[in-house]
Amino acid sequence: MSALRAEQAEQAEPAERAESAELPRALRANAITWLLLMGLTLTSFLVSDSLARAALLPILAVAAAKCSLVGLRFMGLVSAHPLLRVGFLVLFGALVTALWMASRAG
Amino acid sequence: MNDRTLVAPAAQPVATEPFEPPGGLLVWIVIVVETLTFGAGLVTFAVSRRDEPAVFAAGRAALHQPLALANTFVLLTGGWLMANALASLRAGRAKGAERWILAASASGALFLVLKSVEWAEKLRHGLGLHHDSFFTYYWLLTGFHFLHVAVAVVILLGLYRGIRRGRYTAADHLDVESGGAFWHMCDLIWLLVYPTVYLLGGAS
Repeated sequence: MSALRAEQAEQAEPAERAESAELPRALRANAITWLLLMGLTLTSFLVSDSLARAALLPILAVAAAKCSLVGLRFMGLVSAHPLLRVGFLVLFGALVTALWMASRAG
Repeated sequence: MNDRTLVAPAAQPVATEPFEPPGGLLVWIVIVVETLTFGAGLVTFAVSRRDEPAVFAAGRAALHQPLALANTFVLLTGGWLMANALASLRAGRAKGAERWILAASASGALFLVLKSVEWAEKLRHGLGLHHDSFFTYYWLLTGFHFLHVAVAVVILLGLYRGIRRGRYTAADHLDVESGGAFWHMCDLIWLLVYPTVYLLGGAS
């Protein structure tokens, strides 16, 4: 009986090992994404003051990059079907482009 | 012939399953509709800023920039905490998921408190909804976003309770994915509201 248990434990080990390695990897990837988002936020804040009116395009580009990071990494679209990723990027790309066009002087 | 009939049923789910977005289709319909609604509001804001640059420049100057920056950090941190909660739950670490999701709810609550502080300051200075067109947009855009964050915090607390009671597990966590997607939607909307309302002064 104990030999059977030992055999079962041995068989389960690689799967458990893979699972336990998966979580730290995911947490590390999330932490990197979070740091990038914080860095980009700080950059756009500093750029908005130093570049004043010329900051429109860089700030909107940073906003688009941040939305992509949140969607692909935090919302898990990175492992979804490519069409879903494209749809998401097109939606936010179109919104940011519309904001850029609406903000430019007529 | 036999080979074909054996292969077809097995291949079918593989081909159709990846089209399901994380959290399910329903929450993504909500996300797309909400994003387009806020997008329309923000584009209208940008067009009005182009028409009344002086009013909008004065309005932007009256905003509390460091508080808005802090709130952006808080919301992004909440998104990170939620992503960690889901990763922990998927790995079968329910206790860890509980802690992450509770921290995510706390970050949402902190966002609401900081936003209330910002609003109170505006009201003290008489910058209400009808002050000028900048502040009409400001209150509508940030107010609707505030409501979304408040709803998301309630959803996260419900999910926390569900994980605590063992309702959501590594094998069954679609509701947590859906709630997480709604929470991240609040991030996404704020990532557009923040630069448009707080950072951009109107280019010419």
